[in-house]
Amino acid sequence: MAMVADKSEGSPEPDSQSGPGEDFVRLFTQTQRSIYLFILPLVRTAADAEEVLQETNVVILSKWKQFEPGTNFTAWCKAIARLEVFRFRRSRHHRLQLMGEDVVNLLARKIEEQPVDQERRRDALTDCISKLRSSDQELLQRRYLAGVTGEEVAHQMGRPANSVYQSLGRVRRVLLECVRRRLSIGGVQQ
Amino acid sequence: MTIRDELLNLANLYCEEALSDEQLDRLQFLLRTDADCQSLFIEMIQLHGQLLWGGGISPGHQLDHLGESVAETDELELIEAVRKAIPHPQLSPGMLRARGSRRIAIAAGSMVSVLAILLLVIRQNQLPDPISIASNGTETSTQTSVSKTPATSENSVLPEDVVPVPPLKLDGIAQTQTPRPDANAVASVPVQTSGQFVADLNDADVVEEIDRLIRTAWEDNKIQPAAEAGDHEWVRRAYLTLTGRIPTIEQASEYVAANSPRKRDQLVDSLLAHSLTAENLAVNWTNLLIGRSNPRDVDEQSLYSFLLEQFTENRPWMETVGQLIAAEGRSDENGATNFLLAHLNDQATPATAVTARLFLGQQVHCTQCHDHPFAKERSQQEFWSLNAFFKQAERKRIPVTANVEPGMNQQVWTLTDSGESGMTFYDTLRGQKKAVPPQFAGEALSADGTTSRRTELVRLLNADNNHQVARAMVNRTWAQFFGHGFTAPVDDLGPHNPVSHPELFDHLTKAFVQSGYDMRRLMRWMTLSQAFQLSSVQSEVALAVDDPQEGGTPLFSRAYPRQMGPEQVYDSIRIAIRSVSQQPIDSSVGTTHRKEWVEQFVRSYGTDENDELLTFDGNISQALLMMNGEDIENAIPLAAVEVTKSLQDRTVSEAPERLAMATLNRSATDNEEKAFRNRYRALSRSLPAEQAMKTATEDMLWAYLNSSEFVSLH
Repeated sequence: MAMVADKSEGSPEPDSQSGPGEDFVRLFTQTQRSIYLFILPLVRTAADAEEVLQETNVVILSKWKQFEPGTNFTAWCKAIARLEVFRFRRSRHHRLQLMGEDVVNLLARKIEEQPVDQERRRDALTDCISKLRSSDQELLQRRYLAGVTGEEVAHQMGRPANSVYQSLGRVRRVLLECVRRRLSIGGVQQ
Repeated sequence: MTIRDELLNLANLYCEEALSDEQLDRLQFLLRTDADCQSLFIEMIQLHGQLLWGGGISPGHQLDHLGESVAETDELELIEAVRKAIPHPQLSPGMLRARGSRRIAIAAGSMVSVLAILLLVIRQNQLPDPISIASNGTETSTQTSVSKTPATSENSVLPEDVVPVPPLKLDGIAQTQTPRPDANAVASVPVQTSGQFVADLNDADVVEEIDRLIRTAWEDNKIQPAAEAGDHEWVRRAYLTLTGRIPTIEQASEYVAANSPRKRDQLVDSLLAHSLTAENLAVNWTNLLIGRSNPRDVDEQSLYSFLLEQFTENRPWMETVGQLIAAEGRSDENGATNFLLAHLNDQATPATAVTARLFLGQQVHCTQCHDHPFAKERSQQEFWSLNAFFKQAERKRIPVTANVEPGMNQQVWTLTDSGESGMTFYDTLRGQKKAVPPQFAGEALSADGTTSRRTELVRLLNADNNHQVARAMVNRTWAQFFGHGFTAPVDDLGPHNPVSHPELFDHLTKAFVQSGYDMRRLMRWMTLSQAFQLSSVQSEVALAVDDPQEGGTPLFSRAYPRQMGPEQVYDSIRIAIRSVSQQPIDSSVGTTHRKEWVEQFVRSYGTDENDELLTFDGNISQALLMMNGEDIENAIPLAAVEVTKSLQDRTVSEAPERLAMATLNRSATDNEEKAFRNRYRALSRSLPAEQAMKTATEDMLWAYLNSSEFVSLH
């Protein structure tokens, strides 16, 4: 990172001594989702992703002075997140076997190449969810809105876990293809 | 299964944190070697992330309204909204949870106070235990903002009494649908049928009544039933009938070795709950609903997934039928649409004929043009009254967008209801023009366009006092289990066609309706009945009496041998070879290839029922040769090597024994052993012993696989 501390010190931000300005905070909050989505494919579980995001936020907020306004904030955050992913891997918190370092690097590079269109994706996703059968919507609610694992959903519904995984997989797949279509036709749908 | 399918399956398990180490290895292999896999994986996990983050899902069923508002709100507004809501416990707790711990943390106070906490944390250079701050006059725990384990601390943030969503009513229903382990142990199981609870349907009673009625027919015809099938014969039959494939050596010997007196019940119950049984049903019904050749290019995979889920969850058969008939939406998003999408050509006459045949057990396609020659009750008018229900159904192609990637379904269709109204017209043979409204089981709808006719049809099917949907399914399932239905053909019910066991047919239909159209229980009753336990070997005298093959009335006094279907042959060959070579069987591999393989035997006809002909005649040497896309050519020699290796110090006769077990699930006969020894001796003259053994084993395996016994379900 080419950001030098004394550079931002010389900037006209009035509260640069006490803490990040409003613009920074705005950028910071707006970027949370993107950073989370950057981290998630690189760790094994959602809980791990949340933890890495926490750590990343701590670093971002402690290094706010190093950020050069006008440069790509998201890219700056992702670079930090990437380092945090690797730091996390070296810690002992993870409960599951990790993916190889080479694979994580491959994936990270791939995500960094991605155009930043998560907002459009989210809108498309919302639209696609509304088109699902009501039983599928209910399944998503049970899984995601309640914030419980597929296994717990299975338990609640008295169904075998594998069959719930299968259903969730099918629904996610339908959504994936639906989102793709929405994006590829510029969000226009008869 | 394509790489894409495999990757998506693995990504799915990844999302559920249910990947085994082997699956993780496989996933990593795919990610390392294939850039497309990387993109697809990231896309899927990020979609999962969006859902986790709370994208687009909202509580309750007013999804359109709430979902929209969540999605369009910008991040800061959301935070603001949650911040305001936090002090009030009546806020939908699901919303908080979905956003995860850090969102609550961010929302906990104003922006500045969050930063203050974080900066405080940084200054202290450690992560302290939960601290509380007051912000905006509200006492809010910030525990989660600094917790090392957000997943657990999350729970502590939410008061116990506002635990979200699950509409618990559903649980009760779901539980009544789980399979019962023991017919006798369970006295009565309440089963939900269309809103009312029916008690007192006891599996043991149903089975006993089946046995009584079957026995009565034996006595009336003065016939002795065949002896009970031995364990080997029975275990093969149970696996083939339920799961559509033979058991492996291990599965068969595990069953044979068990000494529980209830081992048949136990195996039946474990097979009924097995994913292979649901897969087998889904494959059969995909074939029945749209055929194997799929000339109309509908989304077969999507239909299959729909059916698989219905059968896996053991949804009521009536529900599945209803969803197929009333389906709306895109062919790739709602799998159920594909049934009608495949049959709406020619003024929906195929849809009419196939619906009548598969769901009602009625062959009406001839009555499209004329009254049924000998079934008085079946008139041309009836055909067109049923056809009128499909008048609004509309099939449209969705233009394929430019960046469709290979492997994705190219054709996408939508099935919708147009507002079309009016009578349906047809010409009689005498050239008269006639008009009919939609009508079923005596009830006619008005011909205006205000109702959804297909939804109305589903209502009428449910209300039908003759339970035609149940009768059709009972007969078809019975035929699947016993080789013959109560009528021949199975899908031509009516006064013109005699029923072999009318009382039994009624009994099963009633029980099936009473169970809430429970497929698993229906199959359970059949597999546990006495007739299913019988051997296929029968005395000459009895054979002469009970010979439905020759047109006689089936008495089910023995198991009727019949030829496996092509899917069964394909899967069984794979099982047999892997059994011999002691390779693990990966059921996820090979479905795509199986489909290609099966298609070689299918000729499609453009008839009024979108018919096709299966030219598979069970001559399997041809079939085997055509499997070379699979690993047959390599697998057989490999299997032979395995056998040779494991024999080492044992006798030559063990090779045929193992091969017979793997392919036919029985011991090798003396003749087979003798033939093998002769072959081995002959080869030994010109080859070293080990090589001779290997070649003889290979020859023997081919011989077994080519036998008519192998392709027979008996």
